Amino acid sequence: MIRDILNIIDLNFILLVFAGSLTGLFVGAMPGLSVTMATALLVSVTFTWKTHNAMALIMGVYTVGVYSGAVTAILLNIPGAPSSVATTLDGYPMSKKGEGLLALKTAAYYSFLGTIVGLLVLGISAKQVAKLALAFTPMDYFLLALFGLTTVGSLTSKNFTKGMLSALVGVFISTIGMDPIMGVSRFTYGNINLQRGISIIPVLIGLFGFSEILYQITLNQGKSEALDVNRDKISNKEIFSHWWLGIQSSIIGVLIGALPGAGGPVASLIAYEQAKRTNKKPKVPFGEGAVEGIVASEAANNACIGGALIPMLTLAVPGDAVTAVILSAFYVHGLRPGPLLFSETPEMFMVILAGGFIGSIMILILGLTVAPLLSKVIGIKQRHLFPIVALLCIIGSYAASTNIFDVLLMLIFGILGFLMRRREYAVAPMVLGLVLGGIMDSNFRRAMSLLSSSDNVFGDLFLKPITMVLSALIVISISFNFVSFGRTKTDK
Amino acid sequence: MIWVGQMKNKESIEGSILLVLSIFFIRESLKLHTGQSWALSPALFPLIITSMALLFSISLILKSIGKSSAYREQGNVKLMLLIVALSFLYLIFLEKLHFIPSTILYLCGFTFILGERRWWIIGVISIITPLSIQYIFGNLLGVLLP
Repeated sequence: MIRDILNIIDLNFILLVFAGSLTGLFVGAMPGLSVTMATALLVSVTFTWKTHNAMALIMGVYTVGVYSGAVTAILLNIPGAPSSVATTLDGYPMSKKGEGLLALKTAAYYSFLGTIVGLLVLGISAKQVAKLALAFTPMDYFLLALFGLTTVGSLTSKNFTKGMLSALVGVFISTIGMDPIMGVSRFTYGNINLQRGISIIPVLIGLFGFSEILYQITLNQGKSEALDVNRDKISNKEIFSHWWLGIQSSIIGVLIGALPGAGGPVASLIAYEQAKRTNKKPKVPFGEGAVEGIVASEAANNACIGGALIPMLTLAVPGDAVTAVILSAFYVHGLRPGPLLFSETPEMFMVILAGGFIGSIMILILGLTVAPLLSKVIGIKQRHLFPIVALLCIIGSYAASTNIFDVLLMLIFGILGFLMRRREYAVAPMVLGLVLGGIMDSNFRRAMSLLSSSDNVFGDLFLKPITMVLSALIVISISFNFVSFGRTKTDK
Repeated sequence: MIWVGQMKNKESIEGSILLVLSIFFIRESLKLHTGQSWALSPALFPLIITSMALLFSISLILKSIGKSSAYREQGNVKLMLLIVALSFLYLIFLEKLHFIPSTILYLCGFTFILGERRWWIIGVISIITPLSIQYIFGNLLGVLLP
């Protein structure tokens, strides 16, 4: 396999991956611009290109684009994509303490590790992982999303009730729009803009980006001086000491990435929760700038790349939105992903792997050289920086679907996020609820529909291995939440 | 501007608002059910979520009753409100004027409200930023701007 990969790599291939990586770095960091959008544009641009060259460019955008969501998450508390939400929890507090460079370097190293692990699993055991993914029923998808929601405990260190209310509001908001199963409008009240539902991008930008600006302005009145970006000497030894957590998180990421529709947000949050459970005494508490938080989140969301490619290449079922676009690129170039890919065009599998491996090296190169230059951004005075960031929030909300209504939504959620912060409601659970709500709704109802016609309801509900494991994880997660909140109350 | 608030009383109010909203949306969810099987009903999932929200709202209210403690809320909310008003005005102007003139006005107003008084800096930020964004997004990336 290694020889086959090396045969594909030449200078032209490397340069194309590099060009894609630069594009991915910019696009992934900008909320409102998505890797999916960039990949879709590239499919049309590379229509007449040789397939190898087209895939090299696309894989560069994909691998670096997923990582670069962490850059603005860390520096400005604006996640570049939903999969970077967990990175804001510790990345931004580190930035505020002058450890932005440490956070960015950690994100780069562990995004690299996650990508490599994901691609290795793809290369070695794609078929076995695909078989496991195929065994998931609608009930299992629902339980997985529910498990993701129970990680609310990780995101709400102060008040579990408020955290759950935030998550439930997010889930409820996901039901607004056209019902995916019956096709009826829910809670639109005749507004045509609400028919397509509430888009995640303006909510993300509003709750994290615009609300942060409003919050900081209220506290500091625009007068705060520039932060010292690089207060402490960066110790690579400290960064690398978390390698085992990085590997665990990568494995979580690749397994969840292989489930079509689950994706980066679920993987990064579950990995974050797992990191909290296994690291009882971090140097800095989680949520206040723990390096372990970034390690878990970034390793998992980048490992999803390899995971999402597994069902796409082996079963022609895309693992996420980007792989759906890559699938279309395959068809455009006359290829047939699926079980026959390995026998008819085996070299395409190697092209994807080669593009991914070089893309992961680009994460390191760009993440360690270009991203730290971007960290100088937080050294700019707030009264100069905030107007520009606010404008980028507005442009980002508009760019997602070229609709002014989305900008209005962003402003509304920005005000809501501001009020939530002042009243100590965590905003991350609301975003999580919005992302997971759609998965939960449709799969729950499909599961109920299947159960209603089943002869063995008890067996279907409780006796399938995957269902039992997920149910047990949910019970453990909920118990852990109650125990840890009870302990916090006792300590007070 | 600093004032002292009674946090727990405010939590009762928040809980009550969420309780009322939960009840409202439970009613609205029930209207979505039009006689088909509940398993596939569009009302099922919103009903479950709003019912859970109802329970957690009641929990929030119960936790806040009888336990009052004072805490301080800090900050200049007036400044924040000015920025929000300016942003909504910008949204209105975006639909009427071209992107560049309305953005120049927005950035001028924003930087001025935050306390920048050097007009040359206000000018540089207000003019260079929209021109750069127009070039990068509009020309290079082909992203439609308002």
